[in-house]
Amino acid sequence: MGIVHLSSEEISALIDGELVPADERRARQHLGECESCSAEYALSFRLDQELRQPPILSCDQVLELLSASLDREANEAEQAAGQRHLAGCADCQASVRSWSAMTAAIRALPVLAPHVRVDLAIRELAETPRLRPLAPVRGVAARALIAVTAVIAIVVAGLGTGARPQTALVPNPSDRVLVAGAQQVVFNARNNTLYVLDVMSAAVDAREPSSNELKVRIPVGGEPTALALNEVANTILVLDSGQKRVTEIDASSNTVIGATTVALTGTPTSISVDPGTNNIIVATVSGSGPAAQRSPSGAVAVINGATKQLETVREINIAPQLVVPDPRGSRTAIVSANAVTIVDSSYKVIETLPGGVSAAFSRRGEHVAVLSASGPDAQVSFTGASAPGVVKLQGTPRAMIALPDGGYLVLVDAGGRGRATKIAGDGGVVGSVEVAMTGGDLVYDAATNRFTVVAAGRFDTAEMPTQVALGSGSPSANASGSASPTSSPTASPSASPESSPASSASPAVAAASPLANVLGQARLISTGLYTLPLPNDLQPQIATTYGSRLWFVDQSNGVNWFDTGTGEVFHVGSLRADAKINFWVAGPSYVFGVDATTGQVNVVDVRRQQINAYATNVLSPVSAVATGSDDRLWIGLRDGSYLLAFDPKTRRMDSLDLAGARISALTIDAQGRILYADDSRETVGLFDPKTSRLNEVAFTRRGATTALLVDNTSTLWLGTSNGEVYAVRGGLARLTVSLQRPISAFATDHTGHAWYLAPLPGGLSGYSYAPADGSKAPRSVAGPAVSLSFNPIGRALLADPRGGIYMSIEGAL
Amino acid sequence: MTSAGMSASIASELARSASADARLVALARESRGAALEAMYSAYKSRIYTFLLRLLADPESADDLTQDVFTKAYQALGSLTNEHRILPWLYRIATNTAIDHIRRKRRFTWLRVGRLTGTGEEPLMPDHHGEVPERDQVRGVLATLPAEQSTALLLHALEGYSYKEIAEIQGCSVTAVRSRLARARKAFRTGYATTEARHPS
Repeated sequence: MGIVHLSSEEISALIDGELVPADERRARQHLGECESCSAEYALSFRLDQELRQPPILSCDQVLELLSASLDREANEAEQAAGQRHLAGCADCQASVRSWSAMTAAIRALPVLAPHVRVDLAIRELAETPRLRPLAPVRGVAARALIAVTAVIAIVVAGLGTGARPQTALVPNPSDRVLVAGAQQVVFNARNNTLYVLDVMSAAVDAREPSSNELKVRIPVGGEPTALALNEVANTILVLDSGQKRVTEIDASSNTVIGATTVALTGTPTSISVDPGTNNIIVATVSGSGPAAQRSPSGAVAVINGATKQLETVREINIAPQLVVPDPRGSRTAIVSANAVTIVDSSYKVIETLPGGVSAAFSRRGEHVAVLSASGPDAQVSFTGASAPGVVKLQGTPRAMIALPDGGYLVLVDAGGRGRATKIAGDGGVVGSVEVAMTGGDLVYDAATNRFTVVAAGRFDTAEMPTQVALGSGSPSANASGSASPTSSPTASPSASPESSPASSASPAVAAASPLANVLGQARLISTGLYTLPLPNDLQPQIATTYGSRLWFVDQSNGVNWFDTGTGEVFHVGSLRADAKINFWVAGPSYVFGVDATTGQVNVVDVRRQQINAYATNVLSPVSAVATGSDDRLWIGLRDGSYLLAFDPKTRRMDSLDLAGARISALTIDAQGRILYADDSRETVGLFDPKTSRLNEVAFTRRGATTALLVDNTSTLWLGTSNGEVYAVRGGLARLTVSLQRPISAFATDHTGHAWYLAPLPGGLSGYSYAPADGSKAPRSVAGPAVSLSFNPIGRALLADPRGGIYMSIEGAL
Repeated sequence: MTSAGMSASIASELARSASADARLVALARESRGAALEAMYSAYKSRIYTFLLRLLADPESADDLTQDVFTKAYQALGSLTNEHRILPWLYRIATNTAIDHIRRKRRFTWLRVGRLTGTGEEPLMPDHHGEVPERDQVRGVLATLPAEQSTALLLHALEGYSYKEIAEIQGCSVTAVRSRLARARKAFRTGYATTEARHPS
């Protein structure tokens, strides 16, 4: 009998364990004896094992399985296939390890909070009036004079405050009561910091008092109107009259730590801290119309300094503009134009003095001084035992503070010039000094014996006066034109009869900037034309203007700006040493310097005062740049039909295909539309980013386009290399000026009219400038000029690369 | 308890407990303003951080955070007890961010690419949205398509399951799985490149 071999079915069943025990014993015995069946069994077994294995997948195929396995989102078979691949693939092993590291890295990124402006916006959205009964008045019984107003109680919010600074517009003066430039600065001796309110930017700047250097800017949002120092809590309180909110800044960290909304009736005009009780006192006035002027009324709200709960509100029959606490803590002066009311610690009236603009308690508390108008001039009257007699000062009264030595410092506006006068405790006049500003707050820093005048975010610092100018015995004899010991004997533009407050900075004023105020060194070179030497031998190599800032790059690649309103020069920082700037344009938030060859973009962040450089791959020399109100830098290329837009916020560069156009010059109009000149095709074009529409018109001219500008009448001005100026409007071009020398630049003056700048004819060194419509004869300067711009009062300014600024007082049309 | 007081206590609780969601829904019926305050104070940082990582732009992240909570406020009335607040907010945030990205690309722009910053040290650092962090992580996140980075962020930041991410993104679980895998692949490539460039 031949051997009976195992069938395929039997081998398969054996492998699967499906044979009954007797058959399995027989089969295994046979496998031990039969080589061919044993070989077939081994083959089938391996095949079966292989089939049981997960499939072999490529790296790409296994990617999703590995990813899902890592997340425990894969089924068993998927996991097995993944593991099988991983076992033999070092690259995928590394991938999986890197994924875990990446998840950990993302988790490790800090959790950040949105800007306080978002907090504020959401809070405003959420806020619904929640009524809460007011606590009864403590202390004195209610009298006719004192009443509790029905006040909607307080919503004490947590952290944060602030709206987007850009939208924090100054309220329209016509429909609200304004705080008359007061309380915009406080000096905190504990951290030796000057806190200056910048109303326009809705921020408080912490500054170093000796140099005025900005330490940190603290955005508070809304419409901040006044500051107060809480010495006990070491906090700065910011009053927002519009929102009726008090924001608290911790002076040790210079951060906002809370905001309290106090829904008072009337308009808050003043904030102060009662040094005796540490309570916050907010004065309000009711109404602003003629009726309110006939019978002025207001209120003083007392807010608990610790809990921020409103404690009392007292109506008073004056419209308080300023609340001045006695530093010794027992009394408070409530100042209004009609009366100065002195109240005690429970806000009971103890004395009523004639009205004024400011009041001060003498440091020893024996006298109260009131600054008021006396006809066209100012007077300081004193009350208290053996008080000095009235001191008269020439000029309109503005501000007064008490000094630690028992005296007072008084600021008056003397015919468009600010003058600070020191009065001793006995009423004697110690001295006076001129300051650039005619109003604002006074702050005294005992450590340096200097004082600062602050108004609307601007400030000037000066030494305390020690002698009366011009040897005069009394400040009333101190006529305008008084010179300080530091004044320059040379002619100053501010001495010109055409001087205006914006540029009337006197040489007596100490520099408010890190560098200098150059107005004092102004040198008259011809009628109405001055040169202002720049400090530190700064030589502007390229210059541009936005608003009142003339931005220039100096010979050492330093970035500086010159305030065309005040004559101050500020240094912001330096470009990289190897940076080459061929184009230099300024917008509201950024100044851009572009290297035409490499396309490198240097960005000066105006608000943060920082400079960054970005390499770009534009692949063609840059032919023109422009910036507008959207903060983007628009770049035209010599060899490419592209318009590039660089957004400094996102650092993104986008490009637009111009369908064949080549940009020779670029400018941006007030609506944010981009206008360009294309010399190769002799067209001018307009691209509107809002609609993405591109329009071109043919426009034949001679020479290359060297300057392009849109004025306030939407006329496009085009200047060429052979000295022609064209006005393009409504599809028509008109030749207005023909000079036979290249037009260097255009600028608009303070009225929005276009002017050109061009070198003088051959053989003469210097530059000339004139209205682009040819309506006026050109003026000229004898030296080189790299820029033309106009300040807010219409003076022409030309940057001289040899180290100065030309300033013409006849710049206006 | 006043709604303000309740709002404060819910806010502190929300971050920890999902059961507080139902209380917030109840609070919304009583006072939408209080519910908004509670919701905002509990989740503003998570939503802002998510948007910041997604957009790599602090200002846009601020704007969109405000948009998200404004939309949430308007939709508070539609919330039911079955809703989970944070995923719901993420869903609004995701849609808002993608709308924002699409809006930005409405022009016929050609993308040249993100520039490489070679900036010098800022003279006066502004720490808002600029705290030091792993630049390469931010860099790679910013280059991913929005739906991939969204999935990755929701997974990494919140540990959401694929199903939860699918609900937030309004897509299938399979799509989430594929998005995460592709994001990781891109990340691995980008990460390796930046690591190689900055071996430190």
